[in-house]
Amino acid sequence: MDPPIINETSFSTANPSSYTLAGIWPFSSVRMGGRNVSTGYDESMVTEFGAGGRRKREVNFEDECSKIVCTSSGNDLNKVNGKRMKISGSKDELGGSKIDQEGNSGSGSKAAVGQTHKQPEPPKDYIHVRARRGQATDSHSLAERARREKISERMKILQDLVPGCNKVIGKALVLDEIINYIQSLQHQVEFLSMKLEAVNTRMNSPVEGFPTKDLGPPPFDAAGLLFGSQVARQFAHGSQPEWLHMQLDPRIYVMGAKIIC
Amino acid sequence: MSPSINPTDHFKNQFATRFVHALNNINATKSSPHDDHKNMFQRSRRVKIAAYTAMASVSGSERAWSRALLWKIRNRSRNRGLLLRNKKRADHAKVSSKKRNPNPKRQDVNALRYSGQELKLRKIVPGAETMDSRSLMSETADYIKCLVAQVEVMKSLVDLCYTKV
Repeated sequence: MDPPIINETSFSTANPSSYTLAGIWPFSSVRMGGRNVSTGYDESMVTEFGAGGRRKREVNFEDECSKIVCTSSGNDLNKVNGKRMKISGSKDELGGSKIDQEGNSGSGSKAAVGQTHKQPEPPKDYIHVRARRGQATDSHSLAERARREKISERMKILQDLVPGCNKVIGKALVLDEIINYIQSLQHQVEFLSMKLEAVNTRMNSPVEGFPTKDLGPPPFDAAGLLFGSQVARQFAHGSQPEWLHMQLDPRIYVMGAKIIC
Repeated sequence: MSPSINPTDHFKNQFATRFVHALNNINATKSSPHDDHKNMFQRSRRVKIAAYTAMASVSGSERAWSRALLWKIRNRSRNRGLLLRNKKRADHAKVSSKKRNPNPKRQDVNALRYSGQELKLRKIVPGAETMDSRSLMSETADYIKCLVAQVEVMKSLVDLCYTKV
């Protein structure tokens, strides 16, 4: 839309309306968001005259409004108000040429009254997602952004679990690392079960008196029942977690590598 | 003997108890020792299944992966022989990912975004074919923790056996 044809009279008559808008708008925006979004606009509003400048201001104001409303909490009243505000903003933008061509202060004040009438209630609480410069501000984009942030948070937790995954950059590579780690763990389980089976069949000592219902005893007691009592005595002096960590042996990795290769 | 506060140690305790118990059962049902290879593989498979069952049952039913794992193991051993297990699992994964997904558009989006990696991960983690991305991440984290604990316990058991023999 091109700026309309403006004559001197329209300027002189349009100016009061812009002044009244300048008087009303900062008030409304301060009441809406509780922020000082309007200090920059006041000066431009006063110094700039003309339809193009004013339309730019209106567009800016509309952007600010939608941002404030969309970043405010997700209660439905605010959302509805935001939509209405957006619609009214675009209507004002469309009717900007009409306002300027008519040039009377009445339409301008009507627009101002419309703005003040449709202002949303002050938001009660904020979700902590805020649109940065250049990001989309409608509620779907915000929700999607929040969802993605949550996923990446969990991805970070996952990254801490997998050794050597902190240096990897990029989602695909991180996922690759995770997949490799899980697969190696599964292969280890397979290999260890084969080994356990071999050991199990070699030592032909079926255990008679293993308590079937008792899940309480720590594993070295159970292992002692299975594999003979002297081993259990050997490990019984240490506490259980120490026993578990003590038994980790790099030998197994070597043997596993030998068998796999 | 002392009650363990660390959840990982608790998990290890419970898992080791159940696993040793299952090993005992396998040992007890062992028939005459004719050592052909098929029998050996079958037995090692049984040990593996016992390990996974113990892990899943200790982890509890609030986790989706443990539920799926237990369900798979139960149905596998009930329906068919154990030797067809891997092939059938692969087929089943394909079919279920096609059939169960109620919203195919969403999976397409995921496939585009992750270029196959996430789908690969879904095939590895049990029961992950129908999750959304967020729960996939948390389930994977839990699954990895449990797998690490399982591997540690099994290693220590193997070491015990070798020190004994």
